[in-house]
Amino acid sequence: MSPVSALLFDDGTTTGRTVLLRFVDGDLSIEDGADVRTVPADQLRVTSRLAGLRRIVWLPDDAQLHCDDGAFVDRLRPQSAFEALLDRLERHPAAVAGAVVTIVAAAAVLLFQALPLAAERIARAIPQAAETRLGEHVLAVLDEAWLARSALPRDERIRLNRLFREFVDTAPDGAAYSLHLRSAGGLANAFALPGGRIVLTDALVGKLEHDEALLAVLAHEIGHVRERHLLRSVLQNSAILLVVGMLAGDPSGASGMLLAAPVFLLNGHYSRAFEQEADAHAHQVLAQRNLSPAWFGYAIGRLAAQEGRGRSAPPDGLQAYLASHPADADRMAAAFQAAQDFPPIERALAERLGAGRDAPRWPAADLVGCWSGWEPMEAEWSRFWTVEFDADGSLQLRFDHVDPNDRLAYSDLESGSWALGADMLVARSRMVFDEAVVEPAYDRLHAYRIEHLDRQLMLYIQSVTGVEYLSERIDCELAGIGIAERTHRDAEE
Amino acid sequence: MADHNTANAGAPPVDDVLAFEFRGRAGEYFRIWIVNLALSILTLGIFSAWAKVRRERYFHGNTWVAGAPFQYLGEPLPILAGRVVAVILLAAFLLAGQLLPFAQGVVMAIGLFVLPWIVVGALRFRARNAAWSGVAFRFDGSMQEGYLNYLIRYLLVAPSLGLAYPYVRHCQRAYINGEHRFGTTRFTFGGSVAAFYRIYGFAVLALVCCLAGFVAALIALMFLANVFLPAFPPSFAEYAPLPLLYVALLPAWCFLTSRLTNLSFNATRLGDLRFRSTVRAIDLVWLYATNALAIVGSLGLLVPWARIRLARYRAARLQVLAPGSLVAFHAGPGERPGAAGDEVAGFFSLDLSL
Repeated sequence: MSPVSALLFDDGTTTGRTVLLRFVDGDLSIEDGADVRTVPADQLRVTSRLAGLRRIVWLPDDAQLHCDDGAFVDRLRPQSAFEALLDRLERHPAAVAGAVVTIVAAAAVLLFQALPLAAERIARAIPQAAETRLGEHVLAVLDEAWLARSALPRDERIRLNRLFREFVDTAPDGAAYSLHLRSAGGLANAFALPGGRIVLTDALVGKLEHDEALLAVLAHEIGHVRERHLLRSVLQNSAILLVVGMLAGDPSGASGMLLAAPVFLLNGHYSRAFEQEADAHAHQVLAQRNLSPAWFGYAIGRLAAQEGRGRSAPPDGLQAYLASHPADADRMAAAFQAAQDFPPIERALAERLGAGRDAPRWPAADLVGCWSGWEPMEAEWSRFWTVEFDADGSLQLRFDHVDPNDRLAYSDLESGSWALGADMLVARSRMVFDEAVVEPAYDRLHAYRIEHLDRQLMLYIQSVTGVEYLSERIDCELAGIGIAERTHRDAEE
Repeated sequence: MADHNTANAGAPPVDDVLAFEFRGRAGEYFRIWIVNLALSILTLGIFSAWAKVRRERYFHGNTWVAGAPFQYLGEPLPILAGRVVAVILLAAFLLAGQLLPFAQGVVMAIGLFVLPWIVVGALRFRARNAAWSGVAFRFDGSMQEGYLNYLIRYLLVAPSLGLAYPYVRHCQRAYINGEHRFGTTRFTFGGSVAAFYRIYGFAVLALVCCLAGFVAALIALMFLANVFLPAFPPSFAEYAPLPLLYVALLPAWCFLTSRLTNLSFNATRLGDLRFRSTVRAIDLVWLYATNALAIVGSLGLLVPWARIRLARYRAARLQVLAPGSLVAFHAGPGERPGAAGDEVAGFFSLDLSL
């Protein structure tokens, strides 16, 4: 067997001497010029094999041999099974391919399964009292920085609190929840704090209008509290940073910063999962209270319309992934899906449309009614307008142009189904009429808003599925719509 | 590979310029990296200590100077212990910071107080486990000096409105470089405070220019977005500025890093050896920018390639100037400090190596 050359460092300095090594009968013989030294191989310590790196062989007296012939060192002192396996894996193409698959699969399982599960377990283990204190503290901070006292009338605040208590107190954990009404500078929002404090802003109360819709939103927030979403998202977000740091191996430097970018994407994913969970909770709780889950869809539709979110097409692809909330249309569709066993809320809305105004009343059972007014037009012409409530719940606004001589000149049915109140179109007063009605032909619920201000009609139509959105300014005179100086009750007198 | 025997054994030429060379190859390192990463994941992170040893061994062992490679002697078990401590510390730090907002000050204070210990521990561990031609490095800096440089002196920064910051950095560099030994031979650091002020002065200038460019680019982008994409996804507006800010600040950051690296090496001596580092900011900008693009574009698969080319560049830009013959360095006796400091430093991304 031919000798192998190596560098011997035996005097504690950086000066090495070239020596020749032989492996004979379990012994290492070192030929250093004329000297030959023999060391039993089992007294040697060697570095393991890694790529083609120079190997170190430690002699019992701490002298070192640096040798480039890895195969010789392996014969001298066979690697442990562990080290040999590592080295083989690092060289084997199949192992490399397997590693890529493993990493992708592990990342998917970790980020989408293991982490959320672990966060959920940990969040549940945190005592309720600690969560309550945390919520208390957060609300105090928010009150200091951002929220103001509710400007709702006292009676309304009392009524809402009573409504909330009736809604939650039947649940076993009802006592944990409390309603906190605040004003947030016109921002319509509701959010839950850990421990059960639920904050509702005045603007949201104003926009949702119907108690059922408010309760639907509250049920959604209660879902967040019950599932401890806030704590879980805190835990998950911390853990992601840790995992990404570990996967990157070296969290320092520019590449580390860039690798942290996908964390934003994951945050969006997690938060959407939580929203869906809370939505499902809202559907379930509403159904238990014999309220249609469609109220939740209605609430989402109203809020989407107010924020102008309905304007744009539903997000898709990357944009949907980045979003922190699911698409409004999807959330509403889910709510209407859950409401299949309930009578449509459109009926209730239409009933209330009549009940909310004092007169004239019409039988709620068949929803047939008529509400009309007239306004004098140029010279002898007058116009009579009529809102008709049909048995199927649709509403129509009709303008009849009246010739005093002929009684009825022609009838002019305005397109679509408009909803108007008799006390609305009074000149120089600001009126807002805001309602949702069903459009039977398409089986769709539409949110209508008609605003009148000084002979200008603003017509907004939005389907509650959030997709279409129309807003139109109608100059009453240009459109040929007269404005009543009096309501029809005045006219009857 | 025949030359290293003679170069190392015999006397190198007089007045030699000894170039550093990095011999690692991206393809080779990719296999090591991916297999070790997969094993780390499969063992729930336990193997990561072994993976780290193999990574450090690969990078040390492929860095050659004067015909011989460096060696990494770290053992996995102390690193594993250090990692456990690091994970616990980091988790406690993050959790306490987020769950107890009112305790954030206390948590930060504890973190600051532990930091010097982490820094000094990391320096000791790294030095101790790096060797060349059978002789290991050492870091002799005392813990007291560590607290002075990484805690007490920072107290000067705020009252001086940041003006003392270059001075603090100078003290830290002098501490790190001046307290290292190679065997029994000490490193000495002769960099002046003025040099640090000069570098930071120009860096601030570069930063101002970069920020101005960033603001201009942002305004232009928003303008274009409004004109050409009326239905611009709002999420884009939320996420676009951050990467753009990275891009904008990269030149200033690279300028600072390159100048500080050069100063650190060029003002340091080892016995009568001097160093010459000629890292250029423009090269770093190119390297970091292309690395980042490659890493993001390959979903991380090009991390090994990025690391290799950075190591190759840094080595290519570093030389040892030996005035006479390269004298022998003597190894010193020493104990092996624990690995905890090093691991925590790695997690908190403080790169404090020489």
